[in-house]
Amino acid sequence: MTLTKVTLIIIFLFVIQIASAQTFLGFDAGVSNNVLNTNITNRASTVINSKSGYLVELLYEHRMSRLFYIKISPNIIQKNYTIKRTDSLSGVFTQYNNTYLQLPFKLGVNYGQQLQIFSEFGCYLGYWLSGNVNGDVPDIFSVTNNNNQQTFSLSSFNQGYSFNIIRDNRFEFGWVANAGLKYKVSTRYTIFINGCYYQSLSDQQKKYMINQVPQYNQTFTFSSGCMYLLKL
Amino acid sequence: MRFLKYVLTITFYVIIFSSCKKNIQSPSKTIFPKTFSEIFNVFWNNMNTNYVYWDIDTTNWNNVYNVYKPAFAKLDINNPNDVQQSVIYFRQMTAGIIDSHYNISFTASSIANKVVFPALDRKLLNPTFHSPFLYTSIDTINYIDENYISGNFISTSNKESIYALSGTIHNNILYFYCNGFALQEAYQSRSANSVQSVLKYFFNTLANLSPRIKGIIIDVRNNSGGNIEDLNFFLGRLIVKPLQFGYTRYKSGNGKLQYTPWINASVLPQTGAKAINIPIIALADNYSISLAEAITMAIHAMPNGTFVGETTWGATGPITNNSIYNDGQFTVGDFLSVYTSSAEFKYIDGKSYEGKGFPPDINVPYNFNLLYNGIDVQLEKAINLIK
Repeated sequence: MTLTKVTLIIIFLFVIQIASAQTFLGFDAGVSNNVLNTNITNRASTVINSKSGYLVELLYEHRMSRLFYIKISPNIIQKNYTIKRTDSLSGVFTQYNNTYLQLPFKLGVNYGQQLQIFSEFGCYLGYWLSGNVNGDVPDIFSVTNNNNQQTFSLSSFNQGYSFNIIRDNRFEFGWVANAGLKYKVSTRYTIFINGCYYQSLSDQQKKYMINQVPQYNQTFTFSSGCMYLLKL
Repeated sequence: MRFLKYVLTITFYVIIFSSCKKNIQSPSKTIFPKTFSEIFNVFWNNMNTNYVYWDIDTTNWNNVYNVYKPAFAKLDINNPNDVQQSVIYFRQMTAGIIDSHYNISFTASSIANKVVFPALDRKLLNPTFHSPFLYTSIDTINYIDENYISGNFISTSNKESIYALSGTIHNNILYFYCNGFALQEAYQSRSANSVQSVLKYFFNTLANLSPRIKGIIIDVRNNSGGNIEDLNFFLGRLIVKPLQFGYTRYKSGNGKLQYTPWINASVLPQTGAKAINIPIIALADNYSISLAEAITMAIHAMPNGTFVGETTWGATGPITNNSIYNDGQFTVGDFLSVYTSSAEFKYIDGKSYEGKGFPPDINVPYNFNLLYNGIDVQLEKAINLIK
């Protein structure tokens, strides 16, 4: 199913249900955990590990019925990951801390009264705002040789990520799904906890070479927040 | 109705989740290619991921793929003429590669004598480029004081025969020459060798530097480079604090343009080193290659360092095993092996001299006629600078 079809379904449900609308505003914050999905099996003694970060999010929720609603939740999210060397090169790593601005657009469904279960699905657009890269790499000029045993000293780096206009695709889109629990504290206030998964469908790199190995962000978030009912 | 909505929602999720699963292929997993198509694919992909100068190299590697993939597909690995033709294709594909270490040697028996060496091919077209010259053959007669020490060592690590010489000029200049670098290996070798004696003389003279010594000449002309560890081992005797002379970076992924950040490239002082405040002059020529260039650039970065001679070869990227950085040199099955830099290097001025060569402070062109008559104008210029 294409993203276009998903978008059309969401718009259709929005239009037919909008007459009975309730509107919530809210915010939430939490942690993210991202991994870069790519293929590095050709690279010796190398693994990609997930890395934690943060998420802060604003919410706009529009109820179309007692069950269905749409949600727009602009957020700032970190999509971090670490490339680590293993075996004799253990200790060598490069950690990428990437910050994205995202705009998810989701269709949700609620079940329950005061305590509600909810789940949502939709798509999102993202923009890679900034990055930081740090790590330790063997310094080739530091090599020492004792009885034909080469030893390198590690050199540390920690600096802002330099975007490359040919290489880096700063725009991201994908699908998002989440589920959680809501609790109505009062008529107007609701608190919630939320687990969410973002799957990028766009390569983190522009298509700049033949046989390019794509890289996709896969991000879990866990957050909590509250919502305020604007319109009864 | 409510139940139906939940069923539809869950079904919808399952369809979306399963349709978006990504199956990402590795660039190449063929270890022993058996056809020319496979050989081309493995070679092309390995160049894509292992070559470190893609950010400044003007070779259009995507275009190479489009042009030569069909050409290789027409070759038959069992046809001797096609095997010869493949060497021509490899030479054409890599003609513009700026890495001046870069060469392809063939292990297939019928072409085992062939080498593709783009930098050498380009240099041979340059009218100012000259053949290697054995400067010590006249310098030991006309310039270096008689009590010099010289010696040879066969390196087991790089299979080179290292010749080194040290002595004085006019009794007030300390002179050192070597034609390659496996100095630490020679120095630490359990079997006594004459290069050990040369190094002990040079290091002892440095450690107990007489006031009569007014300058030092490090001669790396006609020096093809060698073991990286010699940078610290040798030049680290002339400094008492780290000497930054450039930056290196490495490939960090499978993309042509995926690199680590730049890190400092420095010479580290060795135990027992003393501060040298007298002039240090690097002598280098267009056959000063690789580590000989690093030594020259590091001396140039010293406050008391000067580089005299000619622009160097232009192979500035250091080399080590592919497994350290997952880049640099690689093999294509049992057909060929590629020798190429493991790190991209730029000098402390922020410029890359890869493929261009490092220019001297004082340019003294090679003059065969004068050398033939026993006059080494480059060495004379260095001597005059110290006087």
